[in-house]
Amino acid sequence: MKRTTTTTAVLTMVTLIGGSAFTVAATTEPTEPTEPAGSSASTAPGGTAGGADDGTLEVPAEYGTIQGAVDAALPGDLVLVSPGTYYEAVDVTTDEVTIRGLDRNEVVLDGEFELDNAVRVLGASGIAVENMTAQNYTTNGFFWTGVTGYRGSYLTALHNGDYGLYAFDSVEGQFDHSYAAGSPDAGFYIGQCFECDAVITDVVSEYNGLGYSGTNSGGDLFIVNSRFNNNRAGIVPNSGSYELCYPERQTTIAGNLVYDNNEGSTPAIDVAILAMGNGILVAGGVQNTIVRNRVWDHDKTGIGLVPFLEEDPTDDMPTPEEWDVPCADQKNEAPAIEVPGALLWQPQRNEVTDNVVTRSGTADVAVSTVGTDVSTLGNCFSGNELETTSPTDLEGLAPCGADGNGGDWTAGAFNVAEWLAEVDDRPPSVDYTEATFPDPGPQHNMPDAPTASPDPAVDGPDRIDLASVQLPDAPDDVESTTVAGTESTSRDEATASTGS
Amino acid sequence: MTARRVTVAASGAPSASGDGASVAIRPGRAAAEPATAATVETGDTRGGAGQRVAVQSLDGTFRPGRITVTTGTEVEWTNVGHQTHDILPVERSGWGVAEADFGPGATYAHTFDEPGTYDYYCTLHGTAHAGMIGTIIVTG
Repeated sequence: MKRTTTTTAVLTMVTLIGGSAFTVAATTEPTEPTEPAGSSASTAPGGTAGGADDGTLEVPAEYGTIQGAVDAALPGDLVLVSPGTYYEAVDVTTDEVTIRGLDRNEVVLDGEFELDNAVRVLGASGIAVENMTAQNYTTNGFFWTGVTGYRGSYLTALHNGDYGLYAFDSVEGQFDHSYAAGSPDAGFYIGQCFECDAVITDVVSEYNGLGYSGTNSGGDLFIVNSRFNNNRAGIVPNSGSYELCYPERQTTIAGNLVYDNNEGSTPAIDVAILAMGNGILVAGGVQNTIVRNRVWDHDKTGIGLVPFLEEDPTDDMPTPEEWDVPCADQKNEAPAIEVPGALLWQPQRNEVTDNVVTRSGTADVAVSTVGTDVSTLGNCFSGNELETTSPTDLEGLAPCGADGNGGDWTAGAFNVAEWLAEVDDRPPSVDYTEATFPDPGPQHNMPDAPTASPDPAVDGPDRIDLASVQLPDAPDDVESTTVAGTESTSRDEATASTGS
Repeated sequence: MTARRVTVAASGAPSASGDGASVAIRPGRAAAEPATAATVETGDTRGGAGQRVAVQSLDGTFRPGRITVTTGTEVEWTNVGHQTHDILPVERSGWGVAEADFGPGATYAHTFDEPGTYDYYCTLHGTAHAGMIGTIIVTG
């Protein structure tokens, strides 16, 4: 429900900015942000501030706080953080700094459910954050926005209020060997970029609203060799005009383990509740490639291509001829003068090939829409090992690289509208400050943390050779179902490790 | 970024030219001058005493990010995103809206009676100089 607040009357506002308290009084000039006592405390052994002639700034030996070291750092420097708990929200504005914990599990940034982001990178390019844990922040664990060049490696994000690792309006980036759990929106998010030139690899995302969310992102964007399990829904790229650079397109999802994303005990935003029970769900996205993933045990679909209904959009829908417009250019366009009351983003021209998808409640692979002939959306399906599709015989109806068999698209059609009716019956969100999930245990440290050179994110993400991304093996204690039905898939929790 | 100039032809139908590259203009879309990469701008002076100009607060972006209005114009921000935002002026206190009052769907309005440049930002997704920022230029 809309509310309107006017300031014809005097307004007083107190807000917290990145660990500083900023007070604006209506009748006085605003004060400069300051570091209030206690807002940057740590339980690490104390240290004194000092210079860093060797390009390494040690916390707390040389700087009492991570923020202090980051503020003193020059491009190319390394901020090296010793084990301890740091009650800080760190803002990074200097380019090409590497921020590294000496021990991923022992360097802990804790927001105490009061601070917003553990590490927030605003417009500073080339920032790499490595080998530490962020927990209990009201918005994000690790957050980059408006940057060229970013990397999050060997990071753990727990119980954060929006996302675990979050890159927005940023390009040339990578998340790798990281773990995220307990966020209502998503463990990992990359949004508003085209072409993103970004990679998510070797991560685990579980017990979130969404394992991965990506609104209006794509273009050289790879989500590979990772594990998404026990979220409300697994991997969910979507289109929407509430962020710029629509639609979502050209994301490659390959080589992942995706299972048991039916979890009703997680924190969850509304979209996550709506998407619950799906493994890989493209919601109104276009031109995506979904290949060689192993997907099992979902109450709805293993891989689903569905429309995304957006009420009260901010703009009208781009035409297919505009899908290749770079984000930087689209940002300069003013919105349409007349905007429809709702937009139905259609899943179009997606390719789903060579996946193993089993034990899905509605269909292993499905495509559906409303108000449009689904056969005209240009999606294709080939080489998948599966038992059920919706519509029936989907690979015969719409094979990749070949003409369909002209069969009946209405046979076994998936009624996506029924989903909307089910939403109210689904488990509500659990407060992220109270949500519980299995202890993931100590996570892998990065190699050579104490001695490795600074490694700012200036060379772009790892290059992904898609042809070499393999279908992952089923975990040791889970047998996979084949089309022949010679084995059955267990719902026991998998013990697969992706090296995160 | 290659500059593209967008003009409105005499018939009112928008057209695009420049650099041999075309810019697709969707029907009904207002012509806009090229802007810096970080903001969506409009070059026109808008509003006036008793009039209202709208700014959208998308997730991560104010749109238009920079507008020019005349004194007495009421600027109304609407949070059309899925996230909570706030609006904090960089200088010139006395206006803005806190996070608690600017969730998804909320609106906030302020009438600018004095000429000047009013920079603002969302503290959750920006700082005074980067991220989710905007500017209101008020002319006399």
